Amino acid sequence: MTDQELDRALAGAFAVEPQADFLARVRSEIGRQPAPSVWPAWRPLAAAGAALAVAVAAVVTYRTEPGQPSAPLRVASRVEAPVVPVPPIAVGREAPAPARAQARAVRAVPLALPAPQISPDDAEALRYTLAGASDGLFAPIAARDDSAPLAVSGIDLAPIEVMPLAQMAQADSGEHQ
Amino acid sequence: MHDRASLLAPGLVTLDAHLEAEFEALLVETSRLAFRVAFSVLRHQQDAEDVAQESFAKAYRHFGSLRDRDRFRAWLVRTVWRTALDRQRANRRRGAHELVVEQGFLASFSSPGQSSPQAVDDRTALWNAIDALPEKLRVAIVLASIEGHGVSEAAALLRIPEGTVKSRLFLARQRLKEALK
Repeated sequence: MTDQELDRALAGAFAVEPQADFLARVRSEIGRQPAPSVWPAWRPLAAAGAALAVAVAAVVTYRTEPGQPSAPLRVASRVEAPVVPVPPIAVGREAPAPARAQARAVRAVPLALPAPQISPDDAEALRYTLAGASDGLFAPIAARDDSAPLAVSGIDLAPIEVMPLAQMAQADSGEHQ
Repeated sequence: MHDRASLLAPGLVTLDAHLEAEFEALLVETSRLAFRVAFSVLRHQQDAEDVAQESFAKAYRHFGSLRDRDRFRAWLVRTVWRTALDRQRANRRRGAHELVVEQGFLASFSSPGQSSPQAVDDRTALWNAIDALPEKLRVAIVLASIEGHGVSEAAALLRIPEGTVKSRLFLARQRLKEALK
C-alpha cells in the first residue's frame, strides 16, 4: 500500500458526519447546565489568599513601629520585688539632689530581696561613724594574731580552812546559848 | 440557551450573552471534530454523539477557563478521547456492542463507489489495524487524519512537540501499511 492509498483510506474512514439534529441536541443539553462562571475555579481561591496575605501584612505593619525592631517577647523568670528608694547617706559631702537620687533609684537594678529598713537613729549613728572614719578620728585597729599563745598569769587565792562537823555543831549551839 | 440570558438582570446580560456567543461559535466549529474523535474510538454513531454531547456539556460548565480557542480545542479532544475510552470499556463490560465495525453503518458513510463489499472489507481491515495500534500512535493518526489536520495542529491538540507527532505518525503509518498489505 502506498502513502497515497493509505491517505485516501484514512480520509474515507474518518469522513463520518453526525446526525442533522446533533447540534440541536447538544444545545438542548447545554441549556440544562448551570451557567458557566466567568472566573475560572482557581481564581476565587487565589483572590481569597491574596486578601488574607494583605490583611496579615497590614496587621504586622500596624503593630511594628517604623524604624524600631519589634520588641522581643519577655518571659518573667522571677518575681521582682518593688524598688524602694533608700535615702542617700551623706559621707562628708553634700547629698545629691533629690531628682538625681530619684533617677538613680529608678535605674537601680531590682533586687530579689526587699530593701533594708533602717531606723532614723541607726541611720544617724551610722552617718556620724562613717563621717568620723573619713576624717581620721578612729585609730586603725591592729590585727590580732591568733597564732600566738595566750599569756595566762597566776591567780592568788587564800587557803580555805575546813572545820570538822562536831566543832561546827558546838559553835552553832554556843551561839544559841 | 439564550432565553436564560434574557432573564438575567440587565447588567449581567451583556457578559452572559457574550459568553454564550463565544461558546456557540466554538461549538459550531468543533462539533464535527468532537464527533469524529469519539467515533474513531467507538465506531458507533449514537455512542459517539452521546460522548461528544457529554463532553460539550462539561466544557460549558468549565468555560470560564476554556475561552481561549486553542485551549478549548485541545481540552475538548482530550476529554472526548477519555470519555470515549470510558464508554468503550463500559460497553465491553456490558457486552452491549460488538467491537467489530458495523459494516452496514460504515457503508452508509461511504462515498458512491466505496459501498461495494470490497470497499467495506477494506474499511473493516483499516479500522482493525487502527485499533491494533498503541494508544499514543492511534490518537496521533486519528487527529492527523481528521479534517486534514497537519502535524502542527495535531501537536497543538495533543500538547506535545511536533517532532514527537512526526515520529508517532511515521510509526503508525508504517504499521498500518504492513497490516493492510
